[in-house]
Amino acid sequence: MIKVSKINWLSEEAKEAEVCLFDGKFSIITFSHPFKHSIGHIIDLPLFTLNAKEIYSLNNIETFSVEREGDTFEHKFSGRVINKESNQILVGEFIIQIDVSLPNDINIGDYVSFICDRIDLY
Amino acid sequence: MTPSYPIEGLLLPLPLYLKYVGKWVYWGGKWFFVQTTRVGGKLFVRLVEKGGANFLKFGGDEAVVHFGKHGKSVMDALGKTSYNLKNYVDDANFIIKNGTFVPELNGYVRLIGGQGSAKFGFVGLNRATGNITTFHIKTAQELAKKAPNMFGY
Repeated sequence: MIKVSKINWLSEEAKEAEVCLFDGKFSIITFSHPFKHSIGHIIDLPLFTLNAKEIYSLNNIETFSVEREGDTFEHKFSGRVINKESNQILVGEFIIQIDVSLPNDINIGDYVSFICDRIDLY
Repeated sequence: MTPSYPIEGLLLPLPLYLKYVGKWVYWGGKWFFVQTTRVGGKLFVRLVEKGGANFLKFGGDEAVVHFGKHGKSVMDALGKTSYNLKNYVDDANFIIKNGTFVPELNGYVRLIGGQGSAKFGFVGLNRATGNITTFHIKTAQELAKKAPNMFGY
């Protein structure tokens, strides 16, 4: 279960916010516009990337990780492919749907790393 | 350029001024941007004064905040290698003037390309103050969900 743990309004009048989500282990800073919820709200998955790139197989390394680049929206993730048709990757309890196709040599169950400019919460 | 009635906002017949569309022209000591606008299904030419009332800005110092958060993704979507705050505000105004108004989001969108999936520039407006509230990138997928009428769904 993933909840909103913090909200930083970029523009309250436009309902544009940095929204921190927490799954009990990992936190992800997402971007949402318009955002109409409050702290504690349970969010629907998946989350969506903007400009996912550098998708690499981790071979036999089975790991989940979340790294944020400074105070930007950029993140680097490690996770497991759970749906190749929808390009969905599991990171902790988060399901992230990337906005590009997964490489052909990557299959369901494989662990991958990737980076993206932003994670969007619709 | 010597338009008969060089008044900002005045609609001019397109055929006479077609060659100036998309360009800056200097007239009467002021710079104007020449753009097309559709009224009643017909295209006209409209002049927008640089720095004039139709050039919209962010409120307070919000432009700096938004540029810091969104400048890189906008730059990437536009395929540029350098980008500054002035570019950011100018591009927001370009989208307002040339984009499509999306009532569900109270802002303008325009397809601007970018790598991977289709990217749209989105500029939100405060209709009470006329200020820009945000300028960021949205994907076609997000717009299809939040503004389905835009795609005719």
